[in-house]
Amino acid sequence: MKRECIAMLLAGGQGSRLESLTKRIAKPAVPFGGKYRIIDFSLSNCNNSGINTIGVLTQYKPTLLNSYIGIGSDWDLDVGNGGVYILPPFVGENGGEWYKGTANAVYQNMDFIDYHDPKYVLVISGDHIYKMDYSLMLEYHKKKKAEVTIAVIQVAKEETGRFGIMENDENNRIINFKEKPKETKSNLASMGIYIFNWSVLKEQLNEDEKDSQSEHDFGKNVIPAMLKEQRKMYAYPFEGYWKDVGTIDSYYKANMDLLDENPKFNIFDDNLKIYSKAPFLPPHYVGPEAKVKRTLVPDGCVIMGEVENSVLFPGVYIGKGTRVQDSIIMPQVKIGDECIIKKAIIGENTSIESNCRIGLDNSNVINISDITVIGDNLILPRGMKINRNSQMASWHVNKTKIS
Amino acid sequence: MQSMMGIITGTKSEEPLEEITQHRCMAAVPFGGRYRLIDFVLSNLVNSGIKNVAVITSHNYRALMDHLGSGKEWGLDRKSEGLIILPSASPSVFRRALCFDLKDLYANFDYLEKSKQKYVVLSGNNMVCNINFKEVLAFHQQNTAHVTVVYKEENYTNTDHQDNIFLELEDDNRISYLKKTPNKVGNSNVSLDMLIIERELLKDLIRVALVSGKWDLMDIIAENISEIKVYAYHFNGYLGKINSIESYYRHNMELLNSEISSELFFANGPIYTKIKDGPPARYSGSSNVNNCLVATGCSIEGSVDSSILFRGVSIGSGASVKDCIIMQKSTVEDDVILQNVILDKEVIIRKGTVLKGKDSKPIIIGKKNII
Repeated sequence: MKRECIAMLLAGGQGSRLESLTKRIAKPAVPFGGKYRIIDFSLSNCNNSGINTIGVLTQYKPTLLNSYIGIGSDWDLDVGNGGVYILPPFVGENGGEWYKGTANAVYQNMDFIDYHDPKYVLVISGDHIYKMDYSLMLEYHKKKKAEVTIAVIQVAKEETGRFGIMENDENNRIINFKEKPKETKSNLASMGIYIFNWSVLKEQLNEDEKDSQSEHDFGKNVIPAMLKEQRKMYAYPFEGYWKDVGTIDSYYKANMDLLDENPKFNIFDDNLKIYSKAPFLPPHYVGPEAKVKRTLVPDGCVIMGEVENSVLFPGVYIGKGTRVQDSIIMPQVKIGDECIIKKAIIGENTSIESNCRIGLDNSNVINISDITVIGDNLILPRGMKINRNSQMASWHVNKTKIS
Repeated sequence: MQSMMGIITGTKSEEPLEEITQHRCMAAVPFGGRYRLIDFVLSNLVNSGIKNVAVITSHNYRALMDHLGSGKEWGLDRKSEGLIILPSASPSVFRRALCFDLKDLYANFDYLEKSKQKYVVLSGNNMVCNINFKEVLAFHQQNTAHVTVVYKEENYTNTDHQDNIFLELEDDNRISYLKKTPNKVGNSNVSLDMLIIERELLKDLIRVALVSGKWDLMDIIAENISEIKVYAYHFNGYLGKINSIESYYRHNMELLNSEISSELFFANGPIYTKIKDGPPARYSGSSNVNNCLVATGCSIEGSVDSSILFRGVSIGSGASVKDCIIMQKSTVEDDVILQNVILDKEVIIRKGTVLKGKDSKPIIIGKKNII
């Protein structure tokens, strides 16, 4: 089954910095942008780039992610000569082990890659918000006769400490790489998108596995090792929107960016369309006394109150006299009458009974990140007050009433 | 093994929907912001556990075929059975006279023979409702009926009734008489163009039709009402029967009533439709929307009141839209005023235009017009 290029999608990360949002689900399954989940962007990019064989490496709390991806039909990836394969850690005759790092996850699935026998392997993660045509990057990789090509994006100088930073020569050949450097001349950050020649990657993964000091991570170990060997490594400069929504702040901001009149990241543009699994819900209904301004609203919502500067997800109900401002309200959240909700993220399937106050308090001290986060599957009883900048999470599968 | 299969037939007449049915058959008429009429009966069949469904098409069926595809959205893209499109026996006849034309079934007799289910649900395609055919079948079996016709009581004093079949019932709901005019002013029992019949009996009646040359199933049943045990199942849910511009407009607007929409979209399972993966609807800071049903992909800057917006509609700033139905990808530019207007797909209303229809007679703008 010869393939030119297959994708290995890393979706096992916890995303622990998203705190309450990833208590029950993996980061790639976190809802984003009114009707998507974070993994939709990578899966849609694959389909839009003509890559239809994808191994999805899952490990952390994969239940929702697995059922969401299914056989990939919502991204048109349920094709006879390819498809989406969920690849959790497994056991062999000598036992098994968890994925120890991104590189080890791919190492453990070398049989899967060999079975598809590709010339190139695209390694991507399910954590990022961006639209990209990987086929252009593959063309570039072939033109450069590279052994590995790494997509890079310019970041602000003060942000370089958060990323893996590349230094290139005039031909974009990578001559130096520093993971989260304190000081650097370059501002080209690795986007965590790699195209390897499979023969080269296989060799590297075998070597990395033997190294007991290695953390088995692409950024920390495999790429530096290849640089040391002076492999042909090129940077592929990407221009466009790319966000790692790894923290509550960056997650909140990336959602709010979509409300701009001309958003930097355009989900409204049909070019490189983003697909998702949509529930079969009727169009949303805006009631006779409702006010909706600067807001994204998908199917199945019913809005009887006021919503401003917010992102709603499918099946949200907002009661009469309720005011929602600057907030992200996830799928199937029900909010009763006469509530006030300000700058909050409300997790999936949570119910907020009438007369609740969320995200308010009397203090005059305002932090930059004054975001209040309420987790999934909670029931907030009538009249409850939750102060600004609080977090509340649930570990239960069943709905839990807070008292 | 399911005991029921479904066959969705054409409608009796398509002229009443004027421009809306000029480019599409009745089954493909857009309805309720993101649906087409056939979605309702097709979803009802699927939600009743039916996995063998045929759709008979006679003309103008490109939009319908595009919409149905492989039947994936209804879970009917199956290795065995699933969705099948049956060509009509008389494709050249543009305006059809019969709802259950046995000629169409005779032309596809092999399909009826090959199917394994004991019962056939025959249904027209212009009934907007949420009905559970399992309950109809239970009623049918309980009465050991040969045929069970679904009906609803309706008041027919003012409405045009030429397309309807009226039922006279005995105390136990056995039908004593079927006819095409009501015999009294006031409430009448009207057939929903939905019935359950045993497959073997249906095959027999097709053979009768072949000999007699009379192809209308309802006529054959009416003529043999004393020999065939025909019962009537009372449907007491919401029904929108789309057979005129007036009824099309009224039943769309009724979806703004949350009791009606929650019954219609959730009662016995969801209404499935083709998925288009549009982004969420986008409301700008200047938008002013009240009492509206709005689909994905819309972009709203102006005022919209008591209207239905289909997928990808854009309403410019300063525009005022009231009591309108605006179909997919139509654009209403800045400062336009629309009242009681139906815009078909991909219409553009240029800046500053004013169009005002009447509640009883909305203005209809045909597909792809620019005004």
